[in-house]
Amino acid sequence: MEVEEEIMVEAAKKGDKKAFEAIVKKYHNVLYYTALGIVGSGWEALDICQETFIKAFNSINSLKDKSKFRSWINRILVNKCNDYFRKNKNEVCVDFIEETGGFIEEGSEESIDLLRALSSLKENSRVVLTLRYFQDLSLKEIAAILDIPEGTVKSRLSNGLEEMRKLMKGYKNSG
Amino acid sequence: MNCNDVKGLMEEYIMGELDVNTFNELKKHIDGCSSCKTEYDETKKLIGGLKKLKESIKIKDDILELNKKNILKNTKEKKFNMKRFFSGIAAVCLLLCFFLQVPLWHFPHLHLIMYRRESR
Repeated sequence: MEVEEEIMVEAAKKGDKKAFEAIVKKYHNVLYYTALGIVGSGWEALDICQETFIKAFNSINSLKDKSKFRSWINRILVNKCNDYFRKNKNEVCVDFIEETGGFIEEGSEESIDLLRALSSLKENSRVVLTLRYFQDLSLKEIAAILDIPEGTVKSRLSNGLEEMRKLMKGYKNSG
Repeated sequence: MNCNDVKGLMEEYIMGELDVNTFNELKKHIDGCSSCKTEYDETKKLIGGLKKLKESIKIKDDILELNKKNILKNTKEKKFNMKRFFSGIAAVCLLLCFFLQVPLWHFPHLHLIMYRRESR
């Protein structure tokens, strides 16, 4: 992590509002897309993103090692996504595209298919794939965020990718 | 190295996270195995697509900006923690009481001197 970011985190811990604003600007979009990849709903991703920052703001003093800020805020985000899944476990999953229709400004058909395939995966694989490819996190970082062994991260990635390849082939063949 | 070994390491191979020896072994196998080559091509394309998804699907800027503003509005003032404030005051009082009592524990005759002075 850059030194500049560590300084920002340190300042935010001391209550510097400008520093927290800079953190929001830096992380907002990447966390939003991560939430979108995990929950598959544009509106819910906005709320989750918002709740993540509010939680981070209120508990930033509990962050001991400021160099681990990225992992720390991602852990909050994943926990918020899990809360969302727990609250909505009985709800019928709405088609991704229908749900995010008002959000997307532009996107190729293939990208939409990719998002649709991603949102069809099991939660476990979806979280791992999203953290890995939307944020370029290492296997070690993902294992630390999710508190699971690195081997489990690898197997979830491998299974998720295999499932996605099948789904993409299906979309291609159907039209 | 067989096809199963290759499958297990394929993702790290594509992400360029393998050591040179393992990378070369995998490359050698993939170059000579048509089914692994097909899987490699498809997986590489898939990973490339996922990595570019943020750029290829653009969410409306005004929605994202509004969300940022809401976050900053909601975090404008840190909540005043009443519990923490009163716990702090109680802790200070306890410490003061403790330190004021220490001389009397160590020098009990101080009690007597103070009492005599007061009675005069």
